[in-house]
Amino acid sequence: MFIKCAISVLVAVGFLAGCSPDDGDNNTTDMGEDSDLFDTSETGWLLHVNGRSASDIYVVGGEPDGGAMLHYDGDEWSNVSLPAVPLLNWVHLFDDQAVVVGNGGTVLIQEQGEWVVEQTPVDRDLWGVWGSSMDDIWAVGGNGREAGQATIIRRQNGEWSEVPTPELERPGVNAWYKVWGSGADNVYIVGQRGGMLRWNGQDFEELGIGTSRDLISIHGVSADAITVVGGRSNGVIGYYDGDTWTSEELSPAPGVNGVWMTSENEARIVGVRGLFRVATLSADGIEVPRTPPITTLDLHAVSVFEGYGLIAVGGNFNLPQGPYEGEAIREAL
Amino acid sequence: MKRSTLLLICLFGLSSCECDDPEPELQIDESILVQRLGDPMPKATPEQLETFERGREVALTRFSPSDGLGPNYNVSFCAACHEQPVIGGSAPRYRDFLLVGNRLSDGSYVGLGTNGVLSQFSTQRPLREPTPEGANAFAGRSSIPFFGVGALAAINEDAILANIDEDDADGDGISGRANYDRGFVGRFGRKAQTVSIEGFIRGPLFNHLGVTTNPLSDEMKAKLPVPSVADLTQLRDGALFCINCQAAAPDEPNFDTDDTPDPEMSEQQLFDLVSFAMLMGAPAPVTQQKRTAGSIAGEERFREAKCTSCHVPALEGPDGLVPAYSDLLLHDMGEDLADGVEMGVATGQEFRTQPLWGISASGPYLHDGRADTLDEAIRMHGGEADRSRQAYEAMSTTQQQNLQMFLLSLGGAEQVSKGLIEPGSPTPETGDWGGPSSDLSSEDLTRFQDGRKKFDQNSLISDGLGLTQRFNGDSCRACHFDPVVGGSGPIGLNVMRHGTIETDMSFTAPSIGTILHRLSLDQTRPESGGANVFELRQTPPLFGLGLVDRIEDSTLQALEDPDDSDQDGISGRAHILQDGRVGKFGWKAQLPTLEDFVRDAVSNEVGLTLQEGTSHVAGVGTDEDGAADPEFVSPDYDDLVFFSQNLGRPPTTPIGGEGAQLFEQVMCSKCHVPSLTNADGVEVPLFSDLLLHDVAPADYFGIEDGQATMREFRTPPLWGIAESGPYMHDGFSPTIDHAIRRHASEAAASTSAYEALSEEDRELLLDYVRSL
Repeated sequence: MFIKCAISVLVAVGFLAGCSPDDGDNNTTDMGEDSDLFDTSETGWLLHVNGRSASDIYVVGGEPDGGAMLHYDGDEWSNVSLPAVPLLNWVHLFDDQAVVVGNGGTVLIQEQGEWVVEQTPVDRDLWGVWGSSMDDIWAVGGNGREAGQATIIRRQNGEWSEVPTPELERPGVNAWYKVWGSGADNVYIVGQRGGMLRWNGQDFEELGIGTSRDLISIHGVSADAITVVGGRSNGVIGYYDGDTWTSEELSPAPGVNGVWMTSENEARIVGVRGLFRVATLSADGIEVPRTPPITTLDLHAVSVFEGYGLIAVGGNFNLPQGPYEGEAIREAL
Repeated sequence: MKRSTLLLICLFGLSSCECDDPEPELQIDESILVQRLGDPMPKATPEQLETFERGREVALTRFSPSDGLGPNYNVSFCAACHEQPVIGGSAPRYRDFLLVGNRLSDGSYVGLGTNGVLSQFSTQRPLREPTPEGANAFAGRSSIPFFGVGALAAINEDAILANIDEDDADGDGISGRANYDRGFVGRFGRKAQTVSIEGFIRGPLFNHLGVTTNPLSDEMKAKLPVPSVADLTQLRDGALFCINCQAAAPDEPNFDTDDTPDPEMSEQQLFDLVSFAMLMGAPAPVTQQKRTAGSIAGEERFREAKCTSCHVPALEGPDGLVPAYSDLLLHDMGEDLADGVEMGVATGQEFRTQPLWGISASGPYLHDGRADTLDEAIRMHGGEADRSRQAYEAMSTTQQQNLQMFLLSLGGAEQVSKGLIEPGSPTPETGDWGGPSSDLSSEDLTRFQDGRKKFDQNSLISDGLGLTQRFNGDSCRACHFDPVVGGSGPIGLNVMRHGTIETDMSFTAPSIGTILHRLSLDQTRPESGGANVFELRQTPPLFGLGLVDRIEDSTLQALEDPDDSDQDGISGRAHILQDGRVGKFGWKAQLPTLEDFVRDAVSNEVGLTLQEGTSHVAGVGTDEDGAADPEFVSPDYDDLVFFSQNLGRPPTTPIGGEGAQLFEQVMCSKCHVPSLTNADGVEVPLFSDLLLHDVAPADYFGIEDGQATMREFRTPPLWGIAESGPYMHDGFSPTIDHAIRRHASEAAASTSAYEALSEEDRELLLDYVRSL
């Protein structure tokens, strides 16, 4: 079923006193002149946005008991028909296939246009997924509360298997949140309490970037330009320039949930209570000028699509019992 | 309207302290915020006063393993750590706790344990939370008073941020900065790591009690005394500005792994508790009219020493000035005070400026209670406070004393004693709980009262606290206070015993003895040295023990039936000690006399050394803590023993009737012998044979103590039982019914008989037991 096309164009980022979010049940932030609104009244939380092009974009999310997916075909947004699945957390796209992960060990694979559930060896929540090909996909997760919950699973030859988290120097890493790689032999996994792993194609190496804040997301444009973000109470950002990792506390900025590198030296970051900033990255340091938030809700992920602009998604994550509200914002770059 | 005039010329921050034209005299409206310690703010409405009382009850509510305590815990109720000098305050050293973490090779710090807190106890075997693997950083913490926190919570963030000088632009050596939580300015905790009172309550509930909660709903938040509903429409420095900062409470439910469904505290209880804290009056400073010349001069010295640079006299709140003497900012306090713990943006050397209002009532001082006195605390200031410390040290003794007098004038001093007995409160009468056993002569009554004060008095480091640093309590009252001084203690004060059960099932006691202390003055955790068995010992009440002390050995030996010759399944035996005497005191009847029982506690629990004597089997003569031995001597020692020997029996009267018959019928009285006659011919209705019995479940193995095996315990007296809970040696039974059902082995037949009773009969029996 198609729904009304609705993405707001973020013309003015300024969200000052007196500029309140929508009064109704539509939480798409209407920031400016043009308001093709993305109707989030029925979507639940929106946790990730990713796409192959400006005319092939997916947003995933939903509610704990029911996952949701929307697709933009360059003309309009539509709900994607899915099997019964719980909340969907992340989507990774290949040229003609895709994989989505969600709560309860859920994995969806797109095959010939259809979304099908794949069996996985875990029932723990999966937060992130990335692959170099359909035959080499990593998914990560865990509840973060109990030892042994940090989860890594890998898809090879059409089968998912659990990969044990190696013994870590860093204690208390009970969840991995995201995975990203520049290739099959250069895969990074980030997680709780500053946990970070790098897969070199054969082994894991534990890395530390000088913070014990939760590292929530990671993105790069090459093996030598990678950005990681995180923090719950206070935001943190880390940057790899091909040689060393540097990190920067962003306080008083709250936690950062999502990152998208637009070039080797620039990233867009989003986070708690509408945090939306541009980071300038170099070996000499990280600069993140303070800019106004763009919504009162939490933003969880951000992606940039050439010819279409930036999309940030999120929701009211401070209400884990619901009602679940989503947020979707577009900025024309 | 009453007004107290305080000279608050440094109201608006650091630079104003050095201005030539001080701000005009500012006034504090006493009819709004300040109050006698422990009482609600004067501004509280009648409805809020009711909430305050309900919240106070919640703060006093003991949690047990069966209603959510644990699985890891330090204490069983909020007021455990907030009792000094009244409910809502701080606590003496015996309530200190440890933070634990791991400093990693990349320089980052990870808190371990429960959100960085190391619990002492576990409700699950091995009953002691193991020290987390990889722990390489420990830091002590003493509890923080809640007086006036509602006023601190209501301060607008701008008033706090006005004093920031992160890069020390004014060159005064002071560079305060704010801590943050999700962009909101932190203000509570030793590192200002917590923004909201709700967070400052939910955190410790989970970290120290293992009690889970859900965040308050917006509907409930809207009813709190301090505005607490999010109003995120303002912008400051690129972030949404918090008008109602209390909205920054943690928004996630917490969960634990015990069998009690989460949340383990209801929303109403949490609301009442948060309201109680928000309404608690701020310490009322001594009025201008009543201040002494020394105090007034001391305030001038305080200002001259630039103490006001951080201890800003007041911040402006919505109800007027909040005279907390804190900027609520983080400051680098130097390497000597550094604890290495990172919280929020606070580094291991940074601490929040501790408010000084009510400081007289919150010793010992500094974040880990390392300072016995204010003088010591000032001398331990370092880092940004170096100059102020040097200025203090350069003062004459009189000037230093005046400065301390000024600090003591900031509220609450009249409510402070050397322990927790409020100054001027009467000694209970004969026949009342905690009163003497009989009408005493004037001279003996004075001894009793002096002994009671010694029982209550907190031992300081300078007194020799700690058996070479280690201790469980810093006074006798620390563990014996339920329902009054001299009584029993809650589960969070259990004594931990430890040892090793070898492969042949024999027991080996550690070389240091079986007591595993909770605390150490060097802020490390006493380690168990590979012990594989731990046993908890609940604090028993001391009422009437002078009468028990006079029960002759032969009386107990006459009750023995070690071979169960009467074949009733019960085979009590006396604990014959090495010198041939019969043990009568302690959970294992391991001590022969009340004086030995006292000596054992003074030395092994408090860590004070005693004059050694040939007639005593307990008490330690020397230790290595630097204080001259013996550390606790006559007449204080004699007074303490006298108090213990003359503490009256529980003032109860058994109701008899059907309940008493049922008590006999289910054979409780086989071990809980209703009465023994002592050497003076006095009937002692203690409801115990004082013999060792095995009433443990089949899989139980504990601590061997002398001739008492790993499974044996002395029959605990039941007199006064209604007031001496929680029950059983580990305190895991919150009710008498629960305790009875846990009896096994020798008591298995009694337990079965009890369970076979009708509900009505069980209630009759329980009524009878409660009346003992």
